[in-house]
Amino acid sequence: MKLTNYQLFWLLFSMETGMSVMLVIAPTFRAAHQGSPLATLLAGIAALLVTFVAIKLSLLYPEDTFVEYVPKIIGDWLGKTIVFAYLLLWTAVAGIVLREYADFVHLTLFDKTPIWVILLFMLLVIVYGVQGGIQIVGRCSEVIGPIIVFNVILFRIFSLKDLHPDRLFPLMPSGGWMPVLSGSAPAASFMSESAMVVMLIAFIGNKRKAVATGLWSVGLAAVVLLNVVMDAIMMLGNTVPAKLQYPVYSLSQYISVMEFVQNLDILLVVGMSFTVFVKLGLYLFMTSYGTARLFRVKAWSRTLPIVACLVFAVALFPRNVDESQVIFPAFWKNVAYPIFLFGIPLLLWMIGSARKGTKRSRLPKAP
Amino acid sequence: MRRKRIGLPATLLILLALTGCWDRRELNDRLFELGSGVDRLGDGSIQVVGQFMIPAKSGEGGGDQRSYLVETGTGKTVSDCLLDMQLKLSRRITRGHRNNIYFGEEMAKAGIADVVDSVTRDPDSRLKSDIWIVKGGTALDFMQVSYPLENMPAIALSKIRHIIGKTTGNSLLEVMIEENVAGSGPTLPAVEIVRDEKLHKKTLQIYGRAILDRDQRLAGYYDRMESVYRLWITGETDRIPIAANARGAQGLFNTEVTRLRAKIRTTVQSGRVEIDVDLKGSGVILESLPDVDLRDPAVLRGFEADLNRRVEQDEAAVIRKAQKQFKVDVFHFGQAVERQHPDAWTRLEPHWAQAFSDAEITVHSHVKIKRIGLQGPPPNKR
Repeated sequence: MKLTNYQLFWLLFSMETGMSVMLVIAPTFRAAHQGSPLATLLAGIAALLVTFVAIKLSLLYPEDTFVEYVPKIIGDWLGKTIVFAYLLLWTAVAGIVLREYADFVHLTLFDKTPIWVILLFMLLVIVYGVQGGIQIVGRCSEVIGPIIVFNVILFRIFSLKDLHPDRLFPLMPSGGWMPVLSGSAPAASFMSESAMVVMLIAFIGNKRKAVATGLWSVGLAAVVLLNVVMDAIMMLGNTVPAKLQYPVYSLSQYISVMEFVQNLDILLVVGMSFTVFVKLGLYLFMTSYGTARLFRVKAWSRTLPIVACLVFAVALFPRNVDESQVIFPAFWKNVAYPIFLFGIPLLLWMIGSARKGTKRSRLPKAP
Repeated sequence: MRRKRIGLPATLLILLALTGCWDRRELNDRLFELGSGVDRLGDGSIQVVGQFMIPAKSGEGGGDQRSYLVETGTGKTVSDCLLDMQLKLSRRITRGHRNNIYFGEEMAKAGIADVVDSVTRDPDSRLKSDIWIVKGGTALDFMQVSYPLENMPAIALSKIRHIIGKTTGNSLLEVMIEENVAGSGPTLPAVEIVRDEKLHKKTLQIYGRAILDRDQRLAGYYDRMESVYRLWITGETDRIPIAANARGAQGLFNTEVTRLRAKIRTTVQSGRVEIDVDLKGSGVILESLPDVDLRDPAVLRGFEADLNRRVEQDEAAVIRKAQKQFKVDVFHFGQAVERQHPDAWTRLEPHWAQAFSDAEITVHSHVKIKRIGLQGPPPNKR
């Protein structure tokens, strides 16, 4: 299994864009109101930092994945426990992402189809893609990523005439920095999912460029999110998006050019499905590959069906949209983001580079 | 070999799902609602009126038979009404193509806040919609007016607004946005049913703008000129026709002003707000009754001055009407204060409606007349 830097770029970009564009905007506006663009900008910077740490950490052990190098850094038992916690987290988030996707499709397209059918068929497609290896998902994202960028540009052009640039100002809200900071947390927690590169760096061919690729990719995703937030504030004002379930969906319904370019929400639904495919493909791969390595199973394709079943079960678990779209993101923001996406990788990086440093100094000087 | 054995049944299984049987939507079972109306009945319940396209008729055009169907439903909420209406209809009501919603005057007086929720919650309903107030009438009256030019009378008004250079489809969104801005009042386009005694017919005519107060109840109306003066400030129209009296030459002249710009400057001094509105535009003379030669630069300058005085007076009157009569800010002045004086705004925000009513507002107009048409003086006058 090999990934190119180009594939890594589009993988991270597609994985980040879809879900954050759909689900992050309302909570951002709820906290930051007029300061939402600023909050998104901060979130983008935070995500870049997380990505940087994650890639640097992985480059300490360039040939190993997260599951393999964590025990090397902090010892077998502690390392394996942490890895196990990560595997559980990835399974949970994959299940919830699948459910969030199905909720959206259920609302917009198939309101009579039972939700498990939507879940199952999406999952089948993803499993089919992943079982060939991560490079399959990578190649898919090379096609999907540019389509997403094309859609974003299309929306950009079509919505130009509906924008009220005056609504963008003042950039700094009267409430001060606190609302902006708390408003940046939801976006930052979604965007920081790029920390998953810890599982991907090992497969990259040219590792010297990995840092630049990762940062460019997350940077582009942040620009797209910022662009959508600015659209929302310039079209819907600073309060209405907070009250909507999917502000971007409402925006896409609002676009009407020359009376015949209308109902562009279908582009959004399709784009969303594509990005969910990439995101879940990554999570399924990481979890099943990681599980196989952790429990010393030879073929990771054996663990894939088990992980897929678990993900399916998790996706069926939430009883209503609030559990999948409010409670879980809150957990993600308050627990997963500070600890699993930022804290642990940072600690590991510091410990890891310290160990490498001492090891190197202990080595006898070359004659 | 093993792969093939799994692959074939899997393919067949997926083929089964492709038919999409759960959510099939046959066009033959659909009934497109192109306009809705909401009226308040005497006992506090509401009545929803739908104007539906009759599929077979709409293509033919002409003839005596109407190409649309009007149906009503009553209930406590809009959803009740829709069910009541659906029970009379053999095809499923589909609202995805609806752009216009009409509220009767009684409904507007009672407040429209409770009625809008069902519009914006339903994923099939469009956000890009206009809400109209039927001045002095009910939505049911309006829906029954026959309008020969369009297959669906409900869409005629959108076309009219488009022709006179107004933004369409934004008033539903405006209601949602303005409600969240302190002291700001939403406005909705208003339509009137006019009865022409000589032609023995009823027809519809755009009246102007209905102003809602903070509780989304009808506070009053702006007529057509007042509305367009307001839209000049909010930047939602691209032209405005003005009739002014030429002072030296005695007589009216009409100008169409385009390329409209409005600049709002605010100052806050010890809690008192001063607002300066600067209007710019370029005019074209459409008609000039006085017997003067407009090719004379001095005459044209005189006309310009008269025009600007007219604009300043009228615009000031429009603003004063909002300050004294409606007592809500319908010009987005509040947002201008927020942008220009964010600190003062935090103090003003809780009682902006009052501060707006007390504000001292001055209007300056700098319209330039650019063209005079094909002639200097009227050739038929001596």
